[in-house]
Order: sequence, then structure tokens, then C-alpha cells
Amino acid sequence: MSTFINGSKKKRCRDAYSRSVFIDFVERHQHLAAVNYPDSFETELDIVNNVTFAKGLARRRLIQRNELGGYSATREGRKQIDPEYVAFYRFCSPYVDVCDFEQEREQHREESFCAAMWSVLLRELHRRMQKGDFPAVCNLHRDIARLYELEQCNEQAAYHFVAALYIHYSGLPYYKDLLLMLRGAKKESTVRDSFGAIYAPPMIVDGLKRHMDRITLDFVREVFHRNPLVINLCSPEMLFELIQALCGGTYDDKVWQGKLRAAFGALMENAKKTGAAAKAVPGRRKEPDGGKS
Amino acid sequence: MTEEHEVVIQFRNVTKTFDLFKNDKQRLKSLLFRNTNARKKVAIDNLSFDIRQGEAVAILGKNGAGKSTMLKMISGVTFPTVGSVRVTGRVSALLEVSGGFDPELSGRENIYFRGELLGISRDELKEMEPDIVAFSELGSYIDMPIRTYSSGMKSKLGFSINANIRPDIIIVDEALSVGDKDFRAKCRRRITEILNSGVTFLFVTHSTAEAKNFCKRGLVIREGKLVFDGDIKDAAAFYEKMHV
Repeated sequence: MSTFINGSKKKRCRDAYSRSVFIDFVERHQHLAAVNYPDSFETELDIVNNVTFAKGLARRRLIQRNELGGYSATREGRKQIDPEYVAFYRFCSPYVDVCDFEQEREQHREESFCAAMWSVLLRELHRRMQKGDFPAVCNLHRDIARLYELEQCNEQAAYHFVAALYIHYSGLPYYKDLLLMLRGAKKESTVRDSFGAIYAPPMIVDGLKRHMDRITLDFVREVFHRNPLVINLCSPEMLFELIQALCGGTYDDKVWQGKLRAAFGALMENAKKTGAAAKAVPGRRKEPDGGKS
Repeated sequence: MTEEHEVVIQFRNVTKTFDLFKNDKQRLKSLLFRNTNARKKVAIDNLSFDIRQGEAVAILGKNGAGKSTMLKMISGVTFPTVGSVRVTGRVSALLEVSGGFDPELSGRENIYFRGELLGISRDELKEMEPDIVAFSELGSYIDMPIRTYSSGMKSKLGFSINANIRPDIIIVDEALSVGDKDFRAKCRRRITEILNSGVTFLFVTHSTAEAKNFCKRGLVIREGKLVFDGDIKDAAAFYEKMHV
């Protein structure tokens, strides 16, 4: 995704990021032996071997052995820690590359870490939405909400938590199946059976609980209005009821799975009707309206 | 957001899929060509949660829900297909307590073998060895090759090593059912001691009563998805309702 920076600048950016995060980690876990440093450094920081990397930094006098059996950062090493890189690492969004963050950071020099992250995440959200990667869209809404929480923008955080739940309960992953059913490529019974249970991700529920006082039916309607989807299992009223149940501790899994299954059934009936109407008008193709009518 | 304790286990949007092959021929084909007709099995589906230092967390779920895959990712045995898993600290995993031994080495040699794999220095291991040997109740068998041990003896040694190496994170997968009744009671006491020392504890079990004994927080996993995360009593109630 990162297109702006050339190879060498990209490499410099990655190296600075790895060094920064690694030295910060060393400084905060002075008792740990390098062999116990996270394996995830390999995939996330491109560090092939933590022990060798630590030795390399020690040779450059950025870290040094301590009496606890681990390493600690030297004064020179501490200078290499970029707090924004550390914040980026701690934020932990697998959808964003550090080079994209760096690009945004260059453009938002005077602004905060969050300003650069919002830009990157919103762009990624838009891209994933167009690609039809709905689980990622849901996760990105949640990440944006977490970012707003860091900046104490609670209204916006609540909006994105609701949006995440709205996408999660939309039934969008079944849209392709519905289209295939209308074209006769999939049996109705197969599509009906493919519908599995939908569970609210606890991280989103926790977020909603923190902002429950802001979430009203009108608030939920606003989310629906701003994010139109081709299909939707929930009406604003149903989603609001669900949020209240999840946050108020009255959520009954059996009842809600039944409601969602019924909504999916209604969606299929609607799709069939729309499909039949479309067939009746030659040259015109209609897509299901998501049971909104 | 409160930052009381550091996050030591962080799962972000983690998905793990396995390719299911009909036969070896198909498996070989998959190595050579991109497009094979292997069926995909989603073991873990978009899992996100944080566990902080010193938390005792029970992981509840039916067989095949994805609990063991999750634990294997935490202990570094397997890796996510998508997403990020971050684990900070020395992990002691009692996933298959009797596994991971060299059958030709003696019990004592295996203590050093396992310990060094976990990054513990020889001096530290020397210090720990008497405790491990005493806890395992193996007596003179400790100097016999592991291949001569019964499965119960292997389990006892496995538990003793993992429970005595002073880990930062301890993972127990149904392993409290090792050995005889007395040994099980001893294991439970040791786990309680470990918990009191501020170690992060992950406990996989089907027994909600046992989970409530040790843990304050519960994660319920169903078909690879995290469906509940909260107080252990609520988690146990949610899990029990799932079976009704």
C-alpha cells in the first residue's frame, strides 16, 4: 500500500522503527533475557533473531548488559527511541504499515500521533470497504474508535463503536450468496443453511459500554444514514435494542440468534421477490434492497 | 483507558486457517502450485483481546472451538494466518505435559534440556533443580531415561518443570488432571502459589467450577470466535447456557 517513499527511504523508516521499538522494549523489560523477547518482533519489526539483533545494538553501544541478566538502554540508545513509533507499535493495528504512518506524519508535522493515524486508518477503511473486506472494515471502525478515546473525543468514539457493530451485524458476508441464489447458482436451502450465528465482539461491546450514555436511537439512525449498505439484517430499532441488551447485561444469546435468523429469512424472501421482479422487466437488473422495504 | 498493568498478551484481529488436504498428493501439489482445491478450516476467526500482567483468565469452549490453537499461538508453537499475536515474557506452557522430552535423556537431563530451551541459564537451573525433583516425586527414577517412565510419571515431571521455572506467563491446558489424587491436589496448591506471585495465568478447562476457583476473568470461545469476555461468573453462566 505504501507508494510514496522509495526503497531506501522505506528501509530507513523500517530500521528506525525496529530500533525504536526494540530499545524501548529492552528498557522496559530489563530482567528479560533476549531469548525471551517476543517472537512477534520477527514478523512485525523484521527482526530475524532477537538475540543477534540485541548483540548488534550492544556493539553499537545503544544497549548494554545489566546485572539482571538482560539488557538496558544506554543514553545514546534512549535518544533513538521515537515515542510516536512506540505509540504506533502499541496501538497495534495490523492493517497499517509503518511507512504509511511515516508518510502521514510528514504531512501532519505539527499535529499529534492520532491525527496521522486517523488519516491512515480512514484511508484504509475506505479501501477495504471498496474491496468488500467487511471484517476488516469492522475492525478498522473499532481501531478508529480506540484512537478517538485516546484523544478524549467520546462522541466520535461512540459513533465508530456503533458503526463497527452495525457492520458486524449487517450480514454483508452473505450478500454474495444471495446474489448467487438469485442467479440460480446456489440452492435456496444451501444459502439458508450457510447462515451461522453472529456474536458481538467483546472489544466492541466494552467500547459501547463506556459510551452508553451517548447512544440513543437517533444516534444509531445517524450511523445507518451515513453508512448505507446493500443489505442489512438489522433495522436501527433492532440494533439499538441489541446495544441496550449487550450493555445492560440482558442479552440472551438464544433469543438474539433466533431474531437474526428470522431477519435473514426475511432478507432471503425479499431478495427472491426483487429477483422475480427484475426478471419480469427485460434488460433491467435489480439487486436486493436488504429487507429495508 | 486505564493502564494499571502492562499488556502481556495481545491478540489483534487474529485468524488462523488450516488447509485440509484429501491426500498426500494434494498436499504436494499445494507446495508446487498456488491454486489447489484444499478445503479451508477456520480455527480462529478474527480474535481480539488483551491480557494484562497478573491476570488469571479461564478459556472456556467446547471441543474444536479453537482453544488449543489459541494457546499454541501464545506459546509460539504455531502462528496466525492474519493478524498479530504479541506475547511478552517467559511462557511456560503445560499444553501436553508429557510431550517435549528427549526419551534417551534422564529426567534430570530433561530438566536442563527444557529449561535451556526456555532461556534459563544453567546457574538458575541448578538452583531450581532440587525443587523440581522434589515436586515431581520421582525419587531415584529421576536419573533413569525418560523412555522407561510411565505416562503418569512423564506428566508429573512435565508439570514440575513448568510450575517451578518461575515463568511470567503460565498456560495450563486441562493439565491439572495429571497423576494421582494427591498429586493433583499438590498441583492445585502450586498453581495458587504461582497466582499469588503475580504471574499471568491462562487456564483452559471444561469445568466451570475449577475455572471459578482459579480465575477472575473468563473468555468463551465458540467456533473460533470470541463470544464472551468478562467476569468469570458471567462467563461460566454464558458457557453453561451454550450447552442448554
